[in-house]
Amino acid sequence: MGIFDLGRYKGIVFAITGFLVFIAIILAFNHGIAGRFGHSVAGVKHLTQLQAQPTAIHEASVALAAQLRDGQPVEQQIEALNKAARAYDTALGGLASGGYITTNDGQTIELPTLRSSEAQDLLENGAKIWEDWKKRLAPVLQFGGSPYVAEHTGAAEANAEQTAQPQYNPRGRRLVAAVNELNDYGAASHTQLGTIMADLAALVEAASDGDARLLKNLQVGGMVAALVLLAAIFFYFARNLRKEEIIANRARKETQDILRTVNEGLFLLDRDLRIGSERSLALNTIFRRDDFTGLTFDQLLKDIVPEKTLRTAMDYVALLWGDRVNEKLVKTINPLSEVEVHFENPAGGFDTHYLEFDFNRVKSDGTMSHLLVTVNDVTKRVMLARELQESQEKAQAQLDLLLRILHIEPDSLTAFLSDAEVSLKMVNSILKEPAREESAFRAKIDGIYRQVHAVKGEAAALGLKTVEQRAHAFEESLNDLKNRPTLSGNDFLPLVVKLDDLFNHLAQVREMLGRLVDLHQAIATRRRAGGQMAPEKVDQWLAGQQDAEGEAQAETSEETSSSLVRTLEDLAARVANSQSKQVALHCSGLENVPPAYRKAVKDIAIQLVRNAVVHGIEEPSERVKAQKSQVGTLSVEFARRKDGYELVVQDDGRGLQLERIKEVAVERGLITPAQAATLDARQTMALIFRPGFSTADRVTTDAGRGAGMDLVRVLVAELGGRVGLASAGGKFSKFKIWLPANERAVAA
Amino acid sequence: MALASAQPGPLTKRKLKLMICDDSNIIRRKIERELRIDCLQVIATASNGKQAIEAFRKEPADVVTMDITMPEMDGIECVEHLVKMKPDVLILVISALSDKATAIEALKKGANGFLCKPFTDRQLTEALEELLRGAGNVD
Repeated sequence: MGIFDLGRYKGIVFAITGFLVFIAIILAFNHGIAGRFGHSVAGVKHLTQLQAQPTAIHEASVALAAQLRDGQPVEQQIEALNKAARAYDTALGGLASGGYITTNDGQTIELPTLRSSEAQDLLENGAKIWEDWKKRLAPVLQFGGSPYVAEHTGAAEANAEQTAQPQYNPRGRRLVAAVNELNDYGAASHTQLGTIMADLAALVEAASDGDARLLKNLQVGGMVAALVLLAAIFFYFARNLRKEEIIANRARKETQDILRTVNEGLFLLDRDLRIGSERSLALNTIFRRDDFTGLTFDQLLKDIVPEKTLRTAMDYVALLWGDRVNEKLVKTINPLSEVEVHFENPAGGFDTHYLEFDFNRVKSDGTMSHLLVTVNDVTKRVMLARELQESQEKAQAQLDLLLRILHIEPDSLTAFLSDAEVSLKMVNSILKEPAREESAFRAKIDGIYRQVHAVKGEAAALGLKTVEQRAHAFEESLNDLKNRPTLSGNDFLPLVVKLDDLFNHLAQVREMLGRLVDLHQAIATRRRAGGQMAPEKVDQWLAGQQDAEGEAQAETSEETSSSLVRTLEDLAARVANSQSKQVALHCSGLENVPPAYRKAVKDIAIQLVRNAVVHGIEEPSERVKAQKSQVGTLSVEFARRKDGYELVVQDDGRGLQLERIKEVAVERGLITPAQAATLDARQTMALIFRPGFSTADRVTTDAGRGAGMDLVRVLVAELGGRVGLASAGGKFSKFKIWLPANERAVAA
Repeated sequence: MALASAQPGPLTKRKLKLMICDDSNIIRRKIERELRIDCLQVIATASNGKQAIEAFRKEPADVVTMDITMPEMDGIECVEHLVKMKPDVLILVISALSDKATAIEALKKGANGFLCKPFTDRQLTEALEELLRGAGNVD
């Protein structure tokens, strides 16, 4: 760690450092050789100067001899000679003692060349010659004072040209002799010494030339080496770089392959909630778009989820960016864990999908850098789960229904079923009624509401929850319609669906009941026969499968008619009981009802029987007063006529009370009082077939909804039949239903 | 590390004080009874936000479990007050998941995590451990 952690740059740093060190070494060599080269040049110059010095010394001593001959003063000349000799001696000494020389600016430099044996031989030779010379110089240089005779001094100066021979004193004569000897030696030696110096200079120059060559070679070599090194470094790094690039490319390709193939939608969100450039291809399919460039997370969602969900989702994502919440402890409240989204489809509608989002914090160096978002389309899973739940609920509901049915008194249940069916048929006929005006629509809603509400109440009383729920849902839709400011025919269309649902459900209940009855009968039959009911038979019956025996039984008209008779008897007895009346029902010819008419005849008979007991038959006390038997008589007859069939339901009750019918019709708003005044008996009787008409004061299970007679009218009309009505006040009422003979065609 | 993992239970730095805030007596008792974390010590229970704040003022807890729907003062408001009083308090919201937006609201006010009612003792322990781990109190 730290600044010395060079990582992948380690190689290049080492290479460059090595290169610089190499260059520095070359430069150091260069510098050393260049210094030596400078020294050599100075040495050559010095040696050239030294080359001239022996001649100068000799010339000085020759000049001294001339002055002595001329009798001139010699002190200065001796001094000059001394100086020249001393300088030469020092220089030569330096050279001999190891190649030291002193340049003109006083600097002492060493010339290693002068330590070579060849130079040493030359120097030794030179030193020998100089030593001998120095020996001859010594008496001359040691001379002090005047060499001349004292009295002659001034005269000699005055008569220089006249006097040919100066007069020497004894020391002067010795000086002359020494000078002569010196000159003799100098004449021979000074050229020798000069030559030696010249040779030395040549030696130094040769060494200097060698240095120059070396320098040149070194520079060229260094440069070549530097270039080679540089090339090597370049090659090495180029290769490494390519290798890294190949690895990086492979990694990038692998990443791309993953992102292209993975089924999940994957992308990163930055702090501005912008979607990153690397994302999986599945995202396009999931979000039905190709371009995500620069898109933010809320832009991605805003068209496909409701506003509230979007806000909650953005809050949640913002929480994940904060460091307060624990990522793992907030996963359960991810509002997008299973979110319903809507995509516009080309047909102009919406496709609903379910998406599952998962968010994970991406950290680098301890701080959060991104959110990794994973998206899955879980529509299938959600749908499957819902189907499963629905089927479970349905199965549970059926089981509940079955258990409930087992607890309900059979009479109450059959009564409810027939009543409910009547009510629903009533609703159906109300729905079919043509209407144009707002008031008519409102009246329709009220009419339907009354029926459905009654069904709901009865279902609730019996504990048939599933029926109650459906009726309630129907009521809710009606309430919804009621609250609308304006209504049109189309608004009623959804009600048809709801009605259908209720019809179907009631049919289910009836079917279940039928199966229970069948099962009961089958078990009873077996018991009578002394056999046991095999468990699989029970299952078959429960599943609605009947064996040939059972089917044959069910199909005989005798069986059916006896069951209808029983139903009617039960009904009459039950209604009479609840109304505190007594009634005796006589049925005949019901076994002749053709199969296609069975259901219709049953429905019609039920209505007419109920109607007769509720409205026709008087209470026992009233009958006694009218001098009738306490027990009312009611007959249901079915017979084949030459052009069709006839169902006659007749009671010996109070008959139709025309005035009461008119009053009620006015009260219920079916006719105006003025219209009532103009109605004849026949028209008045027709009023009881109008929907919503009932003379009963309150709605009970048995009457009051004003549905029954209307239903009779509707059923008969559907079969192409006619209704006839005859009545005599206080004596009887007689409903005559005629049905056409070609029942199959009509029923179809 | 080898030493730490050899010890039974999580390695704790010190005993941490826990306050339980829920209007249901049953839930409060359930949390107290099912607490399986040695380093946590229940110092107070409260049945509404106001009580919680009073108790907190007397002795601030390090960790708080907080219901959302409570009388007097609800959990969201209470979270806000507690965080103001002690910014480093750890709050685990324990509530039914009827409305995610409400839970998110509580987290926005400064709660640290969420546990869904109903919960098992194992879920409670895991959630509290995760809460402490996230805050660096438990290894």
